[in-house]
Amino acid sequence: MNAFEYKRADNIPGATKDHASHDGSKYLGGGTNLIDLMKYDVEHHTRLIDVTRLPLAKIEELPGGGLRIGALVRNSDLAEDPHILQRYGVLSKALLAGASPQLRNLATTGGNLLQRTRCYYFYDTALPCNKREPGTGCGALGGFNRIHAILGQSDQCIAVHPSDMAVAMRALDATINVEGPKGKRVIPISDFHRLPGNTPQIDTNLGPDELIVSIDLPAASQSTKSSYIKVRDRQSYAFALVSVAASLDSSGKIRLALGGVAHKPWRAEKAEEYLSGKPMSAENFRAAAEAELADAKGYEHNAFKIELAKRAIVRALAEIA
Amino acid sequence: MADSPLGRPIERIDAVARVTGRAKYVAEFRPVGMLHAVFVDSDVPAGKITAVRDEMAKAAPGVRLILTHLNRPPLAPLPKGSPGGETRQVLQDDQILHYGQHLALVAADTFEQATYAASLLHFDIDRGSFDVTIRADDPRRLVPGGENDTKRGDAEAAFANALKRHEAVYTTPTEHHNPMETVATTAEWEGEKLHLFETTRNLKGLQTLLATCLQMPKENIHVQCPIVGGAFGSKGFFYGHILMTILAAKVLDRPVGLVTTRRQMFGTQGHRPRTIQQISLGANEDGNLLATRHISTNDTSTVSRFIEHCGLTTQKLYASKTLHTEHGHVPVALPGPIFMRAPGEAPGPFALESAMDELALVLGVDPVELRLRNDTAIDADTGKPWSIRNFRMCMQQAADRFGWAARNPKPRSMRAGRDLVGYGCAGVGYRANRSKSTVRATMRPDGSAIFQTAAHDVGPGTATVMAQIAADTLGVSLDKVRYVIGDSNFPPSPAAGGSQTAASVGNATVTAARALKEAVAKVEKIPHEGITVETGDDPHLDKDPYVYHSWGAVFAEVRVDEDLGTVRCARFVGVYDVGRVLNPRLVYSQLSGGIVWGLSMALREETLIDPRLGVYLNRDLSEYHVPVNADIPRIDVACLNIPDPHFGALGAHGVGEVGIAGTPGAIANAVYHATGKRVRDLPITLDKLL
Repeated sequence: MNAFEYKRADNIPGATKDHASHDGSKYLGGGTNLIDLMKYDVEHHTRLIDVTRLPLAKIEELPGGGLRIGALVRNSDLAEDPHILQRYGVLSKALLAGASPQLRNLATTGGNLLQRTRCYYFYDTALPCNKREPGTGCGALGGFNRIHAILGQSDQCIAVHPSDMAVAMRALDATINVEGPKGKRVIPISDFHRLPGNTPQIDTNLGPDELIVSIDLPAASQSTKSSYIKVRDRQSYAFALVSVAASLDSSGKIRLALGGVAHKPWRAEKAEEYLSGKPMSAENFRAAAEAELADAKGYEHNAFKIELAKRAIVRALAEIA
Repeated sequence: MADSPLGRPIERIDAVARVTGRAKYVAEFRPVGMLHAVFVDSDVPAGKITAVRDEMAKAAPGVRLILTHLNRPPLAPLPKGSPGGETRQVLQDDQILHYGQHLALVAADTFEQATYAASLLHFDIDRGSFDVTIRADDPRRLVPGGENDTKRGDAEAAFANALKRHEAVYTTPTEHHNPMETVATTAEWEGEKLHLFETTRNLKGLQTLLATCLQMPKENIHVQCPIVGGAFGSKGFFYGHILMTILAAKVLDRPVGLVTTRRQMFGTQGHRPRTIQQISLGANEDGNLLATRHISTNDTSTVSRFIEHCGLTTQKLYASKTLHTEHGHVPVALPGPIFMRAPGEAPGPFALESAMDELALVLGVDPVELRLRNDTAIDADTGKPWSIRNFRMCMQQAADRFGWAARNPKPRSMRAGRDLVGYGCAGVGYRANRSKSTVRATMRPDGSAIFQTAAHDVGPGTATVMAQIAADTLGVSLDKVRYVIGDSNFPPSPAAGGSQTAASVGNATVTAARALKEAVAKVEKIPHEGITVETGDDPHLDKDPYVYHSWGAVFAEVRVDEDLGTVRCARFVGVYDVGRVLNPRLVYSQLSGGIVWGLSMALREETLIDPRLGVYLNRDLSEYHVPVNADIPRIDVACLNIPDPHFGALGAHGVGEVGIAGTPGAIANAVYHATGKRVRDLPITLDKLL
C-alpha cells in the first residue's frame, strides 16, 4: 500500500472538484473493498476523498411511487428499511445474503455497486490478469476457473461481478444518479456495469470523476413476492457460485436476474420473455431457464454452473409462484 | 479428595482475559525501541536470483535494513532429520526451489513503512522449469520405509483370493492450518543473550535448534510464548522467519518484531500435503477382513521429505488376517509440508472408513455391524493387547444416541422436504502418546503452590487442566495453585503435538506434586523462599506390555439439497474411549472442535494450486473455506470416562486430534447414503454431486 493523502469532502461540488484536480484520486465510502485492493497493491491511489460525511444517507419516497436510496446508506440499514421490506423484498434478501454483519454495517450502497471481482488472478499482482494489467493475459482462462463466468465473457476476461445487491437492483430496473464536474446524469443499471470485451480493465461506465449520489427504484406494488437463491460453498460469508433474484408483482410480471455468472449482474430477459403470459409451472420454469442459458459457455472447472443456474432459476421461481 | 477440582468442568482460568483482549499474544510483546520487520517470499516456484533491486526499497521512509542472501550473516546449517525435513538454511543462496521461499527481510521504524518498502523490493530471476503435479503410480515416487510401513502375511494374495472385495482410490487436497493467530517473532539481544518471543508449540526444540544455527550456548537463548492462538500442527518446525528476525536484531542492535500476513502463512509455514490413497479390502462372506492394503502417496517439496502416514489407523483399528501399508512421496517444486490436525490419522481414515462402507455394500452387511465384526483386543503388529479397548461400547452407544436403527439402508430413501437425508458412521482410532516431561513445583509459606514447565497452550486450556491436576494431587483448592508454562527457562516438556500434552505434562505434574507433598511433610515450617522440587516422568512406551490407543465411533446425518447439491451436516454424534476425562468442559470443547475440523475437511477445505504457475490461489480466509457458524450443527459428544489403568497415574489420553479422526469418513458415508453417489475426493463440494 502506497502513502496517500486523505481528504474529507464537505459537499458534492467540492468532492468532485478535488477528485478532478488530482490524478490518482478515488472516492472512499466504507472502504470494505477499496482498502483491501490498496493493501494488496492491486489499486494505487494517492488521494482518497472520504465522502462519508456528505448528506447522502437517506431513503426517501419519490413522487410517483418510486424510492430514492442515498449512496451512503449502509447495506445493513438498507436491508432493514421498511420501504424496502414492503415493496422491494428481493433487495433486502439479496443484501442479507452478502458478506457478514460487520461488513454490511460499514459498506455503502454506492460502494457495493462499485466493488470489484474477487478472481484470484486479479487479486494477486504476481499473476497474469488483463483487468489489473491489460496485456498480461487472463490467468483464469486456462487456470483454475471454478468461480468464473459462463455468460457474456470474452477471451480476455472471465471474471464475475461479486455483488448480491446489484443482482437484485438489476432485476428491479434501478437507475443510478451520478454527479461530476460536468454536472448530473442518470445511468440505468443495465448500462452501469460492463461486459469485459476488449476492455476488461474498465468495470463500469461511470465517468472518471463522477460520484454516485443516489439510486432510484421505480414504483412497485405492495404485493410483490420475492426470492433470492444464493448457491455457494458454505452457508454464509462466501460469494455466490450462482445466485438468482426473482420477484413477482401483483400484475403477474416476473423479474429475474442472475449473479455469479457474468462480469455484470445478468438480467434474465430471455427467461422473462418466455414466461410472459404462460402459466407458472415447473415445466415452464425449466424451459425458461434453458432459454436463458442456451448460450452459456463453461470452462474446465465451472461447466457445472450451467446446470446449476438452470436449477437455481427453477427454485427461485418456485418460491415466488 | 471429595471436592477435588479434577474431573470437574472448570472454566479456563484465562477465559475472561482471552475474550476481553487482555491476554497477550506474541506480537503484542513490544520491547522499547522495537523496529518492525516483514519478510518477502518468492512468488515463483523455481529459478535463480540474478540481481536484487533494492535501491527504491532502501530509500523508502523509515527503512533500517534489508536482509537478503547477499548480506545474510553466517548461520550454521539446519540439523538433519527434523520432522518437517527442512534442510535448507534461510537466505542460503540464489536458488529458488519453491513458491513461498523466503527471499528477504525488511526492517523499518513502523510496520507500514516496512510493508511499503517490501513492496518496492524486486528480484531479477532466471525462471526455471518446475512440476507441481503428482499422480497415482507416479514414476518419481519414493518410499523411505520405516516402522509405519507394515507387511503382515501376503495381503496381495489374500485380496486376490477373497470372496468379497473392494478396491478404490481416495484423494485429499492440500490443506493449510489457518490458525487465527498468524506467526510472529520478537527478538531482542542483550549482549550475548537472546530474548525471543515466538509463536511456537515447541519451546525447547526451538531453543536447541537456534543454539545450533547461531552457534551459541543454549543457556543464552530464552524463548517465551505465553499462549499460542492456535497451531493445529503449524508453529513448530519452520525457522526461516525466526532466524531472519534474530539476525536483523543483531545487525541493528535493536529489538525487532516480525509479523506474518495471512497470505504469507500459506507459503511459509507448512501444510498438509495432497494424498492419493489406494485401499484394497478383502473379506470372507461374514465380513471378516482377510486382506487390508493401504498404499498412500503424498506430494512433498524437494527441500524437505515429508510423509503423511495415512496407514497409521489402518494398522490398528480393525482386525485383518493380512496387512500391507506403504507410504511414498513425490518431491515437487512446492513448499515443504508438515504435520497438520492428526497427520495421517485424518486423511487415512477418510479412505479406510469410506472403503469399509463400500465393502459393507458388497457384503450386504450393516456398516456398524461390519466394524464390530472386525473388532480386535490386540495389536496384531506387536502382538500386545491394547491398554484399553472399548470400541464396541463406543459403537453401540453412539449408534443408540444417534438413532441408527431408524435408518433405511437404501440410498435416497430418506427425505426431509427438498433435502435427501443420509446417515453415515465411522470407527475412530488415534494413538495415545506420552513423552518425557519435567515439572518444577514450589510450595510457599502461605500454602500456595507454583508449578512451572516449558509446556504450551495452543488452545486446549493446558494451564487450567494442569492446575486442576496439581491441586488434586496436593489436596488443596484450585485457587491455591498457579500453573505457569510458555517459557524455555522452565524444565523441559514436549512440543504440543500428537495430543500428548495432557498425558505427558499431566502425569509429570502428579509426580512433581507428590514429591512436593513429601518434601513439605519433612519440614516443620516452610522457609521464606519456599520448598522446591523438580521432577517428572520419562515413559518408555515401547517397553510396556500394552499398546496405547484411543478409540471412538462417530455418526453423521447430512442433508443434501436434491437439486442444488449443497450438503449440510444436520446432526453429529461422537462417543469416545479416551481414558479418564480430566475436565469435561475442556475435553468436550476439544472433541467438538476436532469434529468441526473433520466436517471442514470433508466439506470445505482445499488449497487451490495452479499447476501452470506453481502457486497457491486462495491465500485468505475469504476463499480458503473453514466452516462458518451456520455450517455447524448440534454436536453431541460423550466420553466413556473409563480410566486407562496402565497409561500413567492419571489414566487419561489426550483428545486434541481424536475428534477429527474418523469424522470425514462418516460424512462421506452419509453423503453416499443420501444421494447414492460415492465421492472419493475431498472436499465434497456441490459440483461433485450435481
